[in-house]
Amino acid sequence: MSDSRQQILETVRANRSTPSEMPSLDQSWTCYDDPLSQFRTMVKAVGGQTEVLCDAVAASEWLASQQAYSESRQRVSLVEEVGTSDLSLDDLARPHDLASLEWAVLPGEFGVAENGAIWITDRSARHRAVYFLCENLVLVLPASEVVHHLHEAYERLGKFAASEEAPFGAFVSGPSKTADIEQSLVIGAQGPRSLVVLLIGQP
Amino acid sequence: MSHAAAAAEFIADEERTRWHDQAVWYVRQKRDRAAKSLPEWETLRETASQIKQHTLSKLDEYLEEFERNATRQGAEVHWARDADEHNAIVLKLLEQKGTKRVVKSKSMLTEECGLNPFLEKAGIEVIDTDLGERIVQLRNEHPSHIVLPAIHVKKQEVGELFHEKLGTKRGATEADYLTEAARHHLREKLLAAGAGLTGVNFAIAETGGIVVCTNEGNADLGTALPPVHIASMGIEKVIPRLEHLGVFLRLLARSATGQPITSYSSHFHGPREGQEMHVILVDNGRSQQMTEDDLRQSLNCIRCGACLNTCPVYRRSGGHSYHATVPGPIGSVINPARDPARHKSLPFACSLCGSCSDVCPVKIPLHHQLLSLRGKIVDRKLLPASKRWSMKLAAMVLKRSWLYRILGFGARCSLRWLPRFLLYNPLNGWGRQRDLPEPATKSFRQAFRDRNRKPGDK
Repeated sequence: MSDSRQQILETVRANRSTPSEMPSLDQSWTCYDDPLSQFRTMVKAVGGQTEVLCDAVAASEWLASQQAYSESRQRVSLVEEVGTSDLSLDDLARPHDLASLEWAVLPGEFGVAENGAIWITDRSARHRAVYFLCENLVLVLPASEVVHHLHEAYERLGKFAASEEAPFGAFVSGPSKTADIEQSLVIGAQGPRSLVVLLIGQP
Repeated sequence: MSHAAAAAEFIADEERTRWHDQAVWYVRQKRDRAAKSLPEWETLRETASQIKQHTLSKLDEYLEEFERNATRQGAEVHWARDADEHNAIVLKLLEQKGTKRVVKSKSMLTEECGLNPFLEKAGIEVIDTDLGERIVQLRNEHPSHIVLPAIHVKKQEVGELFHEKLGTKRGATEADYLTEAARHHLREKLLAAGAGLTGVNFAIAETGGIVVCTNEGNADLGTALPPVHIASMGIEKVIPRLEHLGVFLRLLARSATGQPITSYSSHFHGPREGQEMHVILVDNGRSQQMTEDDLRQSLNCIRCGACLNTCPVYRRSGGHSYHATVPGPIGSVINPARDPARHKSLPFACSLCGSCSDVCPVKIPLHHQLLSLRGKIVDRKLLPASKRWSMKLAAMVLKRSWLYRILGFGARCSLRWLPRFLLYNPLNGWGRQRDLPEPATKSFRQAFRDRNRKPGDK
């Protein structure tokens, strides 16, 4: 195997192209007058829903007022004061036991205005599967945490890369979807069937 | 089989050809809208192209940096020179874990390596979890498109297939119903899997992480549940820095399907607690592709499929007529670049319209490469005899102006006077679907002389 490594690297080295500069990413990328409103428009466009609420209590009340949520049997929340939990993630030995989870209320770190994506990590979740296996996903983040575009997003994530043990992280944009049957868009492929984004506080 | 012969089978069904053309063109239009929504689109393309060019000029260093950092994050890095070695590594890892059930999210590289049949022969069940890929897998076919694997399949055919394989209602054709059935089937397989295989969209040298993009979330489920994650990547997938993802992720989904970003863009840095993570770096001809200056840039490719969607030949001939893992313009470059004898007809499946180069998010000069590959195929004497001899004949005539003039005169007369059945003889391949042009009354020389004659001259 080390033979292969050496052989590949040697061929690549021998076939290098002429040196070329790394381009600068310091460009004038499009920004938005109101990033929060652009973010909400984009979340809607990718099949999600947003609500702006003044605090965690209001968010919890809003959730409780949703019939689909209040009448469900299996819910979990990893966001303090928002939503309820019928099971504890830490008590589950295997992520497989989350297969019939109906609602998950989970933290998002920040949103991206240009594409409606939300950055999530598994820092607070013992099983990262909870983000993908639940039937309905609710992401909670401060309304002030919306960046303009992905360049700004990765600037923010610089520390993430440097950390010794970087967690799993993902941009989530809308619910799980597919258009693999004759280009007809269907929401709810293998993952969550719906995405609600609760934006807390003032932008 | 040559592309033209395979395409002839495809276009025999005219209604289906039109349907396929329109389905693919629809995706191209969505791409156009997404690209136009960003004023900096051209800057992004240029920047992406420069990042890739820079990376190729130091690829060995970036691969080593990636290996170092991925190892630091707790992943094990393997190197494979070719498809066989890649497949052997995967099998060994699965055997070590004693697993017989594997789920796979979309990976064109494992298609290229023929991993599925290889593992199946070893008694391992491999389930493709991308819906489109699962459809072609159940049909015992290969994907016909790199982003939309089942674009050639009609919903009635999916309905019949699912009725037979998944027990759905006979005659069902609604996408919602069929996708729901697949959801249950695939989630069951995902929950039962002993290992998850994924491709890699980008590997970051600076952090040792890999990024996988899906809309269905299948790569996330396939790696968040089983105790092993094996990621296979071509060596050209490495990018220097995390911040470069800002450029590539803005281009990828917009170019592919017109979405602002895929539903899930997942960043894996090492395994999760209690899991093993392996990354296999595969060469399989890529380092050789770097030798040729005019073809090296094809390694920029981020597999978005935009060049397929815009290509008038791809749209009207279908992906399978290319007989290669990657079809369309990019496939017509990388396949013959690696194996010219086998894929010699592909650079000719092209009208040189240049639309592929215009939409490519990493600015690969595709139509220039296709033209230069044609030259290489001629030099290697790989052209069919009919083309070789007709070109020789043409060269002989064009070198002798007297002969050209005589034949020109003959053609003008015979086109006018000969009966149709003689003109449209079996040797006239061009006239099979077209009418020959109305012959001019005078030769160009004659017409030019007449034009320059001053009034009053005799």
